[in-house]
Amino acid sequence: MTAVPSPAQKTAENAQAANGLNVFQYTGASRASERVRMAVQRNLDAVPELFPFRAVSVTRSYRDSEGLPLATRRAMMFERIMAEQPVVIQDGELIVGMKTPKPHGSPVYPEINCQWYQRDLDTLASRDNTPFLVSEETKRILREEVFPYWPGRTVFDRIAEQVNEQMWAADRRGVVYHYFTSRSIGHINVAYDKILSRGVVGIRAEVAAAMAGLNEADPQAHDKRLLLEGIDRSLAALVVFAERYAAEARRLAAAETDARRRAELTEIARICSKVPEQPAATFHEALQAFHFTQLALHLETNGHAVGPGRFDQYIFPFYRADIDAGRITPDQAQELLDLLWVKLDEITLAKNSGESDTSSSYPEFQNLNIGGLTADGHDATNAVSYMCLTALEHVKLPQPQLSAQISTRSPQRFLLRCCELLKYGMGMPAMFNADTIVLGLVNRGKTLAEARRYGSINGCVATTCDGRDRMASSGYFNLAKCLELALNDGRDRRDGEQIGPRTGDPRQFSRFEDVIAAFETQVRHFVDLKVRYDDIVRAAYAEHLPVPVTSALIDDCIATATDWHAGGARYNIATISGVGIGTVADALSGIRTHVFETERFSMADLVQALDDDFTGHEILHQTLVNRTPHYGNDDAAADALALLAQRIFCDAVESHRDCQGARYWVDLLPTTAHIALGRLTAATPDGRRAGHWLSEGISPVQGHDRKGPTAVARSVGRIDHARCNGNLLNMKISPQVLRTPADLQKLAALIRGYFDTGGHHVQFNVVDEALLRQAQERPAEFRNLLVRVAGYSDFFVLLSRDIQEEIIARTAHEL
Amino acid sequence: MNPRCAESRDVPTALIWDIKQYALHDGPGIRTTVFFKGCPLRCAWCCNPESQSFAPEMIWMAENCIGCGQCVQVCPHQAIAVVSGAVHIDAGRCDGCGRCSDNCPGGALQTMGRAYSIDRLMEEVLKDEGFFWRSGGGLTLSGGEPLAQADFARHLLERYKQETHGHTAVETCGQADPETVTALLPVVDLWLYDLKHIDPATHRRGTGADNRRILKNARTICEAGAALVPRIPLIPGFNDDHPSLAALAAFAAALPGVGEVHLMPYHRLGHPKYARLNRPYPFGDRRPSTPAAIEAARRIFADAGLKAGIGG
Repeated sequence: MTAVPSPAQKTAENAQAANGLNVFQYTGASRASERVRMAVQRNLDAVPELFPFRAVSVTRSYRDSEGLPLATRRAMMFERIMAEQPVVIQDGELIVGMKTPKPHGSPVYPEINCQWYQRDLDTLASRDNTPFLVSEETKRILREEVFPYWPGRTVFDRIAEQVNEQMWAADRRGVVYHYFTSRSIGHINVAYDKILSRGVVGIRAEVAAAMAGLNEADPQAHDKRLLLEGIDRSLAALVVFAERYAAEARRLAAAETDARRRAELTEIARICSKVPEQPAATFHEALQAFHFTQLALHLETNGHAVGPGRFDQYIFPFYRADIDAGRITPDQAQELLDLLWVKLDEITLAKNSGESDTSSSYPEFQNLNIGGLTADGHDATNAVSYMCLTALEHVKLPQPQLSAQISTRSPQRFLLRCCELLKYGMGMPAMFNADTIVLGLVNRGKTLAEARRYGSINGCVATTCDGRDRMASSGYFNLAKCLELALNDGRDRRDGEQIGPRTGDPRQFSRFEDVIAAFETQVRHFVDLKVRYDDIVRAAYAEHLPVPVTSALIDDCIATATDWHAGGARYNIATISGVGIGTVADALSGIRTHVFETERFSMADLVQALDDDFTGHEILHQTLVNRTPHYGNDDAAADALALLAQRIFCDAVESHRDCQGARYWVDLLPTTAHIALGRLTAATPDGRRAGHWLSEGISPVQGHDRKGPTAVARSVGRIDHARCNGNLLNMKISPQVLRTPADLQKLAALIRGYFDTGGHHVQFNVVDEALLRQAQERPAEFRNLLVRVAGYSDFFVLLSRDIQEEIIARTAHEL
Repeated sequence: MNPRCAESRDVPTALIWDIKQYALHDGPGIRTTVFFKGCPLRCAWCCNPESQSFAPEMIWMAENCIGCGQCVQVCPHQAIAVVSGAVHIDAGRCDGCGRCSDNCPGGALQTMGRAYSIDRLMEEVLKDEGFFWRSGGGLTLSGGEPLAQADFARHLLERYKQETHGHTAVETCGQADPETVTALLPVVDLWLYDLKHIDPATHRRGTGADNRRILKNARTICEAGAALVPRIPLIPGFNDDHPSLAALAAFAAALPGVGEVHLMPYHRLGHPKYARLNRPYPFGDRRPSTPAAIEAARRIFADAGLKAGIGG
């Protein structure tokens, strides 16, 4: 079996595709069209910028609607955004619609948290992580029209008045990182299939039916009616937005001298007049309806990670219908798909300065899934799955994040094609184990058929079910800091402040179990604290921020007339992201080996060394680093400590439900929080010095894995993956392992072998250190160098220096 | 222990200096390569000098040494001295027990060569069994010279074959008794077979031994129908001239069933290891093979009808 089909094979496969068969439609390393390349270049040249338009619409609407019911006010707000948002069709576009007048622009969401924009407005353009240009005109508009209205009126105000100092201190000191202070809950993959197949008209009919079914005896009937009316008005507003694009396309067509472009603009006008109001009938209509939906969700609120989900599954029927009818050629369809990729890449968001550290990225975590399983458990790959890979190859942009779901039933050629794309060093597609996704989702309450058909990756590596879920990923939890506290009687080692429970003088610990018990107590304490914070937040968004568009597209919000923020989804879960499990495993292994097994050092020696950040304790320090069995080397005893840390964390987290009754679950993903939280963590007994980054995801401590990728895979496979809502494993490999078809087969075998252990996810940074150093020295030449950061890829030269260093330090698995 | 392989209890141990998982160039697929210590040849260019001696050896890496002196204290044979910051090991006293390296905080001291039983080695080898199966890979024995510890090697391969039915390969210099080679034939799926020079005298000059047994064993293996890929190190000034390579190509092409060779360009990555062993580097200042020389060599083998892979 080879990875690269011959031209004859390609022709045969294209011919089959053209016949409408569900087959591998391989376009190989074909080039993007001139139109696509122009669009890509436009994004590469775009400078991230803050725009005031949404904020002005929202502020005026809120001001004008005071006194009205909140559900009505939110619908009015969305109507106003849709009516006033600048409408821009860029040169050569076939898929239209913009979140801001230029690519890579961010709107402002003052109703959630206005304070941070005010605080950061003058530094936003110059900050280290993800700067945004702010024009003087934008500053003026925001300061005059927007900022004065919001004091005391934002969601954050409601949160801030309830969160106590203990909760803030835990955040400030890096034990936890609280989400939702400036962004709503998000983490949604909506039911795109619903809007494509039924159109806004179909969903409004669903709303009407729900309204008709309201029981007037229900004391909440009035509220429910208001909520359904809000959904209905918001859906109607989305049609207005599309119609404004149709009008703009007609205007441009009238002025267009080039006949070909005029015809394209006329077609765009026709499509925007039709979708998303009516069901889509063609591939082009489906992509356009999808994009309008994506924009609506991004303009309604600023929730984290709005993901396309199982894109190939709901787009394929439109592709096939067009091919069957001879309406489109595979090349034309590929160009449209490429253009959609560019549109998704336009979307970004300015985050507040704290979050820009823990989640350092311009990309907005739009996770697009391909492959996986059907409801019956069969392989789900189709022609669009392969076209998505080719779109990535053509545009080479960081968004959408492409995730390939590989099951035991996935065709080898699909996996090989995924491996082939890794040679570009973009870290995409990320590889996910569909069988583990299904197992985990069923464990978290989904039906088997839903888990297979809608089971999807959202954000970095978290699992969700498209169109029926609320997965409130609630922030980060620093496991290494909990160990620090356990080894210092609950005091922050950096200044001695008592922030955790007193768990005893560590110098008196006489058994390894004493260390574990203290660690568990600290973990449980801060999980409790985190959950209490989350409850405040969950209630604040439920009470103060209805999201009618989101609710329209997540079952069963309409049927139960309950807003998505208020728990209207069919399934509701909450998750907390554990950070530093590798650090904790190696630290525990160091203590067990050198204090309690060989007794080379005493607990007092160790505590003193930690107090001194290892300065003057070189023998102890080097012994911890070099003579400790480390997680990540296929050493069952060391790996068992990672599993133990996971079990302690999972037991603590899973014992909770949030105020809406949602069960809590763990995921082990850091985004870039392992760097931000590492800065706030004192020395740890894995030999890590104070302030240094923590291990990321479930990857071994950087540089502690010394036996290569198979050993890493087997070690990491010992984590209980199905019990987590998502685990992240980074591997960096050199381009040399991807040269020949035999190389690709070996990489595919590595992935299959890892997934055989039950591993959830692996992503590859295929770059070498020399190249990255060059990129640091001459960033201008490496503007397009994409690397995998955490659950996403970003341009290397745009990352801050310490994140660049961290990527370089990840052990390179050389040939 | 596999009861069918009762013999393994009678075979004591082998001296192993490294075990490498995820080996991608020692045969098909993903493999684990076991490096036996001790080699009958003394190639002047050897890039693994720590593999040559049949006894355990200590290496000292100055860059990792923190100068704590713990090695001196723990050595039961008073074999270690620190002289002006450098660790010296008296090879006469050292028995390779490894206590110093086990206690070395910086990992500056390493014991090259540990005794492994078959059971212990199988434990290591089977760790990646799942990856062997997924990739069509398996177990490779390398060296030093695995045929120099032939009984152990044969028992290990038999055991591996019995338990996994997986693929086996041996990297060998071929300097072994003909009976040794014959005995291994049933359990070796692929021979990666070093050929360094056709002329016996030149061979002796470069490696310390002439090549008659080596060439004969190669023929024996191929005539038995086993898969063999000659591996030719391209050594500047030793065998990279046209007549030497042409002679090697002619020999290889005449071996029944051989259609492919691996050319291994000379590199100097082993150079620092000599210093760590406190030995002079016998091959001096030779320069690595140039791309032009590699291409010229490839053409010579192509002219003989052989496909030449570069670097194995």
